[in-house]
Parts: sequence; C-alpha cells; structure tokens
Amino acid sequence: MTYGQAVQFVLGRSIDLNTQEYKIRNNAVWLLVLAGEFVEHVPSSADGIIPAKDVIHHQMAIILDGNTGEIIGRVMISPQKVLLVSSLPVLIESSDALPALPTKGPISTEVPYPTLSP
Amino acid sequence: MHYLFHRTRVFISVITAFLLVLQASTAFALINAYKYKAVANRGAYSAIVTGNPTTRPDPTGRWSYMRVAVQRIISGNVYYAEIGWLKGAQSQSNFIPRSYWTYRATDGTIEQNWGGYPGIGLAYNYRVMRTSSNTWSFYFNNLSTPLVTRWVGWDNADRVLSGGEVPNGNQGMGDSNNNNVQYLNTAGTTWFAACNTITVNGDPTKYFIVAGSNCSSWRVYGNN
Repeated sequence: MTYGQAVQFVLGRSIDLNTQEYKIRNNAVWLLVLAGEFVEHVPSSADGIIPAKDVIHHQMAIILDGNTGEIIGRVMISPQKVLLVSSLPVLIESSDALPALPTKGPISTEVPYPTLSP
Repeated sequence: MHYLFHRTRVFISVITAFLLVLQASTAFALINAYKYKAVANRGAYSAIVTGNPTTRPDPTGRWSYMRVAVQRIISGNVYYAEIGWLKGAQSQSNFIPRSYWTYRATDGTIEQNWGGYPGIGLAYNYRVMRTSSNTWSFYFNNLSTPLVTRWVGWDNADRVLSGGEVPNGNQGMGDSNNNNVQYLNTAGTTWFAACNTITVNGDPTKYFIVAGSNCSSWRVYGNN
C-alpha cells in the first residue's frame, strides 16, 4: 500500500496537499497494526497542577518504509477507537519447528599423569 | 512522553508483513517544561540550535532532546503538539540528532514521527501552529510548508513551553540554545516573544525577561 493509504486507514483522513508529507504519499510502505496493551505516559501539565498519568491503548499502528524498512511513523490508536482489521492478513508465528541446537561436545578429560616408577 | 510497551505479543494483524521489531521502549519528550508561559495561543516557535549531547540514562531508553511545544488542558487532561530535535537509541535517530514531532489529540490519538537531520551547532526553525479548525501544522526549518498537518481536536493551546533534557547541566548538550521563543495570539495575527512578557515571581521554570527577544530556555555548554 502507499503511505497515503496507510495514513488514511489509520487516521481516517487524507494527507494535506500543502505539506511536505504530501510528496511521499505514493511511496510504498508496510503497515502493521498491533493489538495488545500499550502504556502511554501522558506528561503532566507545564505548571505541574495536573500530574502525569498512564493511559492504556489497545492498538498501535506502525508504518514502515517499503524499501528500507525504517519506521517512519507510529500511531497509538485512541482507546475509544478500534481499527477494523478483520479484512487484513494476520501475522502468525511460524509453525515450523526450530532446528535443534547443536549438542554440546564431549568434555575432554585430562589424561592422568603417568605414575612415576618407583 | 514515554511509551512503555509491554504485553504486546497478543495479536498482530498486518496488511503486508515485512519485519516487526518491537522496541522495548521508545521515548519522546514532554516530561518537563523547563520554561513555560501560561497563555492562550495558537502557535509556538523557537530557533533551536542543534546540540550533540550524550544521551540520558532514562529508564525507558537512552535519549536527549530539545523542543518547543504547546499544551492544551481540557477537563484535567493534557493534550499537546511539539516539535524539536532528539538524539537517542531509537533506530530513527541512531544517536544522531534528528528532528521529530508528536501530538496528542482529544480523541486519544498519539502520533510521533521524524523529519530531517539538523546540522549540529546550527539554529533551525521549529514551529507548531494552528492552521485550520481543530488542526495544527508542524514546521521544521521551512516555515512556508509544514512537514505535516494533523487534526488534534482543539484550536487554542493554554501553555507555550520550550526546553529539553540532557544527562546533566554541566556537559553533554554542546551549545544548544532555545532562542527567540514566541507564541501566536489566538487571533492568529501576531507573534509575541515569550521572554519579554512574563512575570517571573521567582519561578525559574517560567520565561524570564532578557534584553532583546532572545530567550534561552535551555542552554548547556560543552563540546560533545
């Protein structure tokens, strides 16, 4: 997908044409939507009256450059929103058995010193 | 801000799978406002010199930064828009100072992203500004064309602030000034220097009156 499509999917808005971001709207990207629990640390107010707090998010989107793999954007999805990912392919852990680790080699034993002849 | 990612390995959906590398933590900044002014505004600006500090041994990662930002307070919740440079262990920085931007919208969305690499020891323009209804733009270097424009859910901010964090105040940053901090009035017509308009009242965290329009909200000498 393109960067513009990824932004549209995640934020629900198209890219503003009067921005530098608009120039890369057609670049190929990888979009990953993670589900889990992500803790966002919201800062305190500048005057300190409102203390910092943690907010739990349940989805996070990561946009990767399609050519380099660099993370070019990260969005914590609002806890009140859910990205509809049912139509998307799911990454699953490979069922292929991992190759066995090499077994440890035999431990060399010391050769006993020859006993001295009386 | 800090993000502590944990218990993430529950479910992963992808449009196209490539490679997933979850960082144990990543970090963006708005923990401490070293200088701030409580004023309704629609923009904040600073000419920030790029330092090249050592990175802080923060428990969520290794990173140092300098930035200008605004905060909006709604019903005890803090929302913000900020832009600056950051040097950290994140792959996007890889210990090279790089411009970044982030915001928190009223719907709870958090977005963070990166811009170009500012030259070390040079001053660059950093600006966040309301550009349409409930929407702010983020400017780095080029004040004509923003990097991005995003819906944040608020028009007026309640605080303008600037500053950063480095390992300590005696060495590490290089010489990074956060100069000429300004804010835009809510009419969107006039930029005011933050330094020359504050009542200090002995609070060192607030902007102070200095000659001219310069305002060093954070300045640490060194030569890293």
